[in-house]
Amino acid sequence: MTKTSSNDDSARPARVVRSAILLGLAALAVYGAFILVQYQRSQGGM
Amino acid sequence: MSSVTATQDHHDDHHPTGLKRWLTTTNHKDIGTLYLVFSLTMFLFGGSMALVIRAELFQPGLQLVDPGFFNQMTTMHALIMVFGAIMPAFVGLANWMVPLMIGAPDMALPRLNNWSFWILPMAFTLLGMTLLFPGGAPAAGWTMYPPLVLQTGDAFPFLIFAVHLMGISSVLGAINIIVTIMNMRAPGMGLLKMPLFVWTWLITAYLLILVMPVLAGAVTMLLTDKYFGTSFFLAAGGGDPVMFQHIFWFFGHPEVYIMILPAFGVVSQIIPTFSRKPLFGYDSMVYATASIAFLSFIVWAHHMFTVGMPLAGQLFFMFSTMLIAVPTGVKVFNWVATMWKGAMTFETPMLFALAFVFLFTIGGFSGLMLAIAPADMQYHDTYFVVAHFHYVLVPGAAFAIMAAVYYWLPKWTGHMYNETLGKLHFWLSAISVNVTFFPQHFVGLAGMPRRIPDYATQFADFNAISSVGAFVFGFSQLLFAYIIWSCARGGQQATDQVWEGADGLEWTVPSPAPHHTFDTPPVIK
Repeated sequence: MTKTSSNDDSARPARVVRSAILLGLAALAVYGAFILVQYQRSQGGM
Repeated sequence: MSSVTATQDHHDDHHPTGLKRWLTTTNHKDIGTLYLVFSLTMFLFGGSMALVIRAELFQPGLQLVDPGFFNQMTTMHALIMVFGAIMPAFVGLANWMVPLMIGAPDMALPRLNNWSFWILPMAFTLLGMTLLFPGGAPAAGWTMYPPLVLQTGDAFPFLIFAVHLMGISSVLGAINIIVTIMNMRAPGMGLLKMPLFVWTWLITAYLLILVMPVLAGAVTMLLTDKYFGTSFFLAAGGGDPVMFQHIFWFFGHPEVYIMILPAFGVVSQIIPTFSRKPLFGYDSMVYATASIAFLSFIVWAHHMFTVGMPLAGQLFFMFSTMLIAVPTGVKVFNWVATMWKGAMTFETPMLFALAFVFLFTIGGFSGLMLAIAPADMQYHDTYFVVAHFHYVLVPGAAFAIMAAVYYWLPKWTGHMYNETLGKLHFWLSAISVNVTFFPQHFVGLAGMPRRIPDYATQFADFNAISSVGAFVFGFSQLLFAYIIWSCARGGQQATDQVWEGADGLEWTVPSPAPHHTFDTPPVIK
């Protein structure tokens, strides 16, 4: 049987929540970074 | 997937009924149905706006609506079709099919799934109600370019808030799909054993997480420019309106692939089934999908060659855009090679999938023409562009959704749809979509600008033909709605496998698929 990420059932909920939070934070980081860079640019920064 | 052991639990389903069931459901099949019904409703709503546009353009001169309302129709049609029809339809298909295809009992985060869906009707209520405002709905185009969009009246904050909500819904849905695929595959299902539809959705979900926040950032900055005294994009305050275009298309081009990669996945499921052969070049399909996703991040400025950029920039974006033809060509080759010497039959899903391969490729070729920077100076903002992206999105994305609905409807409802009516729907759609959009290439090449309610008399004949095609296409979709409705109500009992050549976990569960499936994970051998 090929080992997959779903073999370890006991670890599933924690891993699911952890990856969901990380992905959500990544999305927020992209959102914040774009606004921050544009803010610095409009202030004559960059 | 050569061999599979599936186990089904046939226990009683205890869940609320009526409205409460649909409001509180955390079941992936219910939520998939909600997405698909919402998407069809938006498709008809956005389509009726397209018919207003085509009715006005039936003849030169101003006939039916004033130019301001015409602009509202073009803007709302695009926003509704992109965010309300195409995207939710693919999310609905993912909700229904991804857990079934990977042998998971549900999505990884079912409550989040419910929330992701119910944000959408709120967003489109906010957007739709602006049509009733004294100043009307947003009218600056779906691209929302400043400074024009900042002249929007009371509808502006509703537009911005609605776009934020659509983005939140998409990102939450994408997170759910990624964690489901990465964590809940059945034992034995390695990544390169996943069905192509699952693969294309995994890559699409990453695209969504990376680019929806960019759109959200852009519209947040529009909001603060209008109401909070900032000058992100206002030249008078030291801002740069062209920067908005760069940011918008950094989101906008991957968005195009968000709408087409799952369509590639659908077609890659259907063609092998009705060719009775395994998909040709599975691994290369996966790599081609990933390559297209990567390239989608480095081509954005081909949407704005005419805004002015250094020659090196024009060359970079021209050649990087043309590069996309390579992995796309790999896909088209693989679909054709799958059919080669296959025992093909032409049921409705296969007809829509075949039309997809032909007509999406036409849209791809006109895209290559538009990628040529010097030629784009002529084509930009003409009906040639309208013809190009409608070939990609209507006989491309929308036909793939229709193919998917016909393909999986028997699994969802337990009944076969009416094949005669399905084929009638296909032929009406396939002919009328070409009657609608093919002449738009000609008027575009001759210089007819887009988003203008009037035109020179030289364009009259082709516009009349296009409008007739649009009305036939639009009313044909009522037949689609009827076929789905009648199939849901009854019909010939579907077998578990449904299609003779179908292969995969979803075909091992009964038809209709029970409320709970794969409570015990199947073992893939």
